[in-house]
Amino acid sequence: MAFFEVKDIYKNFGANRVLKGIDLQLDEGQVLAIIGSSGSGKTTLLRCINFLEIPDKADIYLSGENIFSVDNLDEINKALQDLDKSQTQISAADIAKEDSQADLTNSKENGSDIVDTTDKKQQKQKSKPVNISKEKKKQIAEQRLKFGMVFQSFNLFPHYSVQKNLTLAAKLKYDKSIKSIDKYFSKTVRLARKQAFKEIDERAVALLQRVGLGEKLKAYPCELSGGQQQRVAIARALILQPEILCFDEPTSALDPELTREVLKVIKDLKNDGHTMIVVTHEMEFARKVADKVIFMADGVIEEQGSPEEVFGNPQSPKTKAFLQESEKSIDED
Amino acid sequence: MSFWNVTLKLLEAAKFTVGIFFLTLIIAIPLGIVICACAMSKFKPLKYVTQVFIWIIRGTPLMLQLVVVFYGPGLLFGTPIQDNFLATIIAFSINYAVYFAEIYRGGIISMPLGQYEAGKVLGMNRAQTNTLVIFPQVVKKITPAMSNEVITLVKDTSLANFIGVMEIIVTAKSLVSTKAIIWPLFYTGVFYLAMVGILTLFFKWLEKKMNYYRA
Repeated sequence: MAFFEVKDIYKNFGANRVLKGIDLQLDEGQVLAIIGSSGSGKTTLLRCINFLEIPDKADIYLSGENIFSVDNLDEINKALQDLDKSQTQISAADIAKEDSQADLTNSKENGSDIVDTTDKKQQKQKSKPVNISKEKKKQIAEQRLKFGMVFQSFNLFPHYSVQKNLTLAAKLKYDKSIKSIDKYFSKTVRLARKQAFKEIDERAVALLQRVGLGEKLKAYPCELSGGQQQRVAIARALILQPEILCFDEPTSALDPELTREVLKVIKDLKNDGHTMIVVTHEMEFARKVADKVIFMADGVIEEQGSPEEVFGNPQSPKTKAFLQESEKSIDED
Repeated sequence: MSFWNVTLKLLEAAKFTVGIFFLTLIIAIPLGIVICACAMSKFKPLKYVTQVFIWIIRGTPLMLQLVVVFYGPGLLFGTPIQDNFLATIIAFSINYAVYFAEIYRGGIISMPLGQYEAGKVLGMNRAQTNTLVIFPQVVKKITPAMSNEVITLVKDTSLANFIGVMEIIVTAKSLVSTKAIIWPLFYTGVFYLAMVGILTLFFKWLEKKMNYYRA
């Protein structure tokens, strides 16, 4: 079994079927590039992988361990059918629609359950939305920490210095591991905490140097260029030592020069042995850095393989068209 | 009556104005947080009840609310509020808390979703994200709007004369009728201008202090 494996992932937003059954595997230390036109579902796929969206159906394995399993597809399909029916019914159409929309939110909430809930009783229920239990939310939050995330819009905390942006979450995580009262009353705990925080600070400095921003420790995000902000965001994601680092179009908000500096950092991280999933529009980058490329279209994987296979010898007509189109835009530039 | 005597009289009345101002702020700022939390609650009944409450408070004159708080308990339960100052504080606090709550809410919903998601992927829970990421930024965002409301409060204190609190305007008015001099009434403006002047400087300082970052 591969280091990271996603099986049969489905996601609907209302009646909009965004992911229609996707499987992917990734070995440790590999870089996976996900390409495809806008609306093909590649960002949703990434967001499902780190649980920013809860998939309707998926099995996710990391290092052989099943970290997430859910299957609410039947329920959701049923809700969607109800929706279709109610839309075709002319009489009392509005009421029916409202009904099935209520159903839809219902099953959407259900979709957040970790445990398989193919329980027939629950399918028949049309009652209030079922909220995710605190316990499950906690489980998901824990699993999410195995994935680092770098956003298209950086999402740094503007009111904190670069240093605090990096260290805040790590320190909170440490505090979670000790009893909060001891923090104030036990001298040994207090000393250990001080030491741990010092190590976190040191790690932040080291990471910042790794992304080439050693001198920006005390700066605020608004004082940095977009490329620098994104590199800080990468360091921030790394400080929690995730198993897999996810990038959601990390350079889409940047000009070519800044794009280059961010992509260089990602390349460096690959050399350090980080496992990464990168949703990108940078074909050159995908071709040169990725070990594996997935081309997505309409919620399914249209084509996948090594960069040589996908870029050099695409099989599917959709892939060919997409690649030609992106070539064209380069020529026009 | 000499200028000096009038000044002393008005200064003595100003303690009610200042008292109403500070007590209202001390109660309304935290009460606004509670109302804001109710108005944004996921528990629908609470949310709707709060929205109706906000509609009523914003939809009626503060002067009317003063009257209701002052005379209402007496008419309804036979236990009148004896203290018109207390009634003023209650009415003002509720009224301003509602306006503050709407300002807070505006600040919170204007926060980009990405900030919440960043907190999420960094393993922070909802409370941590709110207190460490969202609220500090909201404070900066809402400061101009809050300064507006706070300055309005200075001048609204004069409404307390409607239920007989001896604040500046009432005192000046009584001088007009008993001593047959009109100028103290104009003179009250100086007191309000002085208070608003201090507040303006304070908020300017506060905004500058929080300007160490741009969102």
